[in-house]
Amino acid sequence: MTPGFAALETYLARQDEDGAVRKTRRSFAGVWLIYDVVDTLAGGIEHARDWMPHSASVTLVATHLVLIACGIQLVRDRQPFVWGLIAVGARFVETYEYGLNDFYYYVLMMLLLAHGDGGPFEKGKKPLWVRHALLAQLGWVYFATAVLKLNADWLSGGQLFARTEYLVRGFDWPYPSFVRHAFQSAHFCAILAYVAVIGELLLAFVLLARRPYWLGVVLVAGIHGFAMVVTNVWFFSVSNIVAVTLLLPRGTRLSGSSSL
Amino acid sequence: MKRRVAYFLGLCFTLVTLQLRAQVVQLAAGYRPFGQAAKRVAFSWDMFAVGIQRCAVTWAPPLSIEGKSVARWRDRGTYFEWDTARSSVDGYEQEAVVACDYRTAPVTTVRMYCINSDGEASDTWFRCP
Repeated sequence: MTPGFAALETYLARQDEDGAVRKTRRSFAGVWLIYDVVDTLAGGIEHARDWMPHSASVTLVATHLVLIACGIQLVRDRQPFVWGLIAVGARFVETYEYGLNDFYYYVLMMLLLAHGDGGPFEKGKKPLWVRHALLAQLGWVYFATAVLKLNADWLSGGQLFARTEYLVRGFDWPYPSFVRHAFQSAHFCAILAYVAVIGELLLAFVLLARRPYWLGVVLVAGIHGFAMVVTNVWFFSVSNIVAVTLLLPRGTRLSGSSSL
Repeated sequence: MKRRVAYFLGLCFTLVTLQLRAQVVQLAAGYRPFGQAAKRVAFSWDMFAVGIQRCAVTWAPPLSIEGKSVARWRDRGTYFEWDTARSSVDGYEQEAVVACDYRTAPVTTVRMYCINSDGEASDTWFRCP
């Protein structure tokens, strides 16, 4: 056995001490369960697919029912590997009905969260690598999205102007008048756009370094609190806040124990 | 033990390949940092990085669709979270015209206030054909 292989085996056997992945999985599943129930009842994605009157997609209805069943079982913490993988498959099917970054994000996060009790080979364990992988995955999401925002469209503030003006004109979004006035300034929107990119890059590095906890929580709450109010993105925002808040270690280092 | 290591490596390889491939597709589609904006690519995490066009559409007098009065685009859809947005002004216009089939008066006016992420806005009116 090579030293590298032995080291990897030792690493994979390390156990997380505080059960953060399990808490995250149940909370994350709970947020998305609410999303799926409301979506099913209100026809959110169904209307987004096609604004004109049309017959409902049987595939989408079936997918929602499967996702709701998975969500209930995951919140109850029943066979998380099995129900987690079924949820991953169902959400992936949903992306064919309507491709949203939120769904792709769910697919990868739930795929990793499903392994939180040991995956296919073990049960009742708390492998540390799952928590590390989730933090790395979150870090990559923030890093990639920040880098892709490095274009004139975002940095000029045009995106924020368009999105806020659309909410005001199309939805009577109740911004206070000074906020609406501020968002009509290209200069103000551009400053916010730069701040958002810097915040996302900073959060990516905090997640990859797994510290400091307070900064990660401040950044994720700031970024997604802003996204909820300004861009009408609620469930994705809450699920990110939940994931970062619960997965980032609160101490100075992520501790683990070996159970080889 | 060997199976666990192989499984772990396979899972990591899948996740890394999937997401790196998405970035390669972005680059192949022309995205450059501080240059051309990104495109929609699954798993590339292009949230708010792709140019958008949005319209607030109204009909006067209101349409009647599935028994409900529809004066504004948003009247069919939810207020929070789920957006019935189209990807282009043309998309809105096509649907706005098709929706004229549900008019309640012979003369119905469609108003489209459109904004794009270049910072441009337009306000147009036309009669249902």
